[in-house]
Amino acid sequence: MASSTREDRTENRRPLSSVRQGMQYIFLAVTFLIGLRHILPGESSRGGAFDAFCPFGGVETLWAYVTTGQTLKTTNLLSIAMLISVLGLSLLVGRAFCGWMCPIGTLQDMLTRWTRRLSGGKKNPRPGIKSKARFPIQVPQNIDRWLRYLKYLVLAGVLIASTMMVYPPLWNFCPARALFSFHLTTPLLWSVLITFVVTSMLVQRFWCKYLCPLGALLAVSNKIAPLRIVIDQERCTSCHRCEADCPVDIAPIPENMRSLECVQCLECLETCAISDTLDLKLG
Amino acid sequence: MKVDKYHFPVIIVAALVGFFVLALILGFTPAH
Repeated sequence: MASSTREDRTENRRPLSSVRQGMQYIFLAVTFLIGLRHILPGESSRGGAFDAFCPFGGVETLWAYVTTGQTLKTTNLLSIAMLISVLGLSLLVGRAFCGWMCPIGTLQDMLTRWTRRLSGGKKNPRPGIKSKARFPIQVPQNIDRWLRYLKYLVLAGVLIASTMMVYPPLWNFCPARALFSFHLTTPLLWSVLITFVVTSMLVQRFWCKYLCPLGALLAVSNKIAPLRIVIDQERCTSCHRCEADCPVDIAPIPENMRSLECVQCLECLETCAISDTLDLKLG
Repeated sequence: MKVDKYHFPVIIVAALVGFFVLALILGFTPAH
């Protein structure tokens, strides 16, 4: 019975992954439309700038709002509403926003898929099998471990800078603004856009793993969220299939079920060959 | 309590929308 279950689950079908991809595309399209709306004539002043829709704008403007009652330029109270909704979601389910909704994460996933395909990967790789494509590359583990702390430094820097600035500190460096505001007015924003595309093609989810300050802020929610992925250690055979499709390269997964890096994409649940080994649990 | 993995997308969208509406009710709306 166990062997037949195992065989069934190694088929090339991943319905939940398709649902996740669909949801990612919907949020990407909505973000695209928000950006588009702000370049239409007569629309730019309504609802603030594109930045007003960014949950991280809420983090950047929070100090100014609490101390002066005013928000930083280009942000408004909508940023704080977005922040509240993303924080609330994360307190329930961890960093699911990063894995299912964030348009920057979606674009990185798309770039990874294209790069993988262009560098020798299969169009429909079998679940649980590590791709043999040349790109994206795997950063050596000892370097990767240290690079992942960078995003916490970025977050700390932004929080400190936000206490003394008029514009959001990331305003000139934000990849979301470079990608979706359709207002590439400075060479710096062009550099951010090009760097984002190149790094995402070289390393899977480069921005999420190493630089994203919102991811750094939400990371702690993985440790406290009541809805989480659990593993039945007795059923786990340590085959490490689940690690092959992890977009943020968590390894070993069975020992890191509440990793700060997990984006709750549930690919490990989809890839696991033995039913009921990985499950979602509330409480 | 076990949760069906196919319910996960519904849960996260409901939570996001729910908290966003809560924030709007609390007064975090852009001034026009």
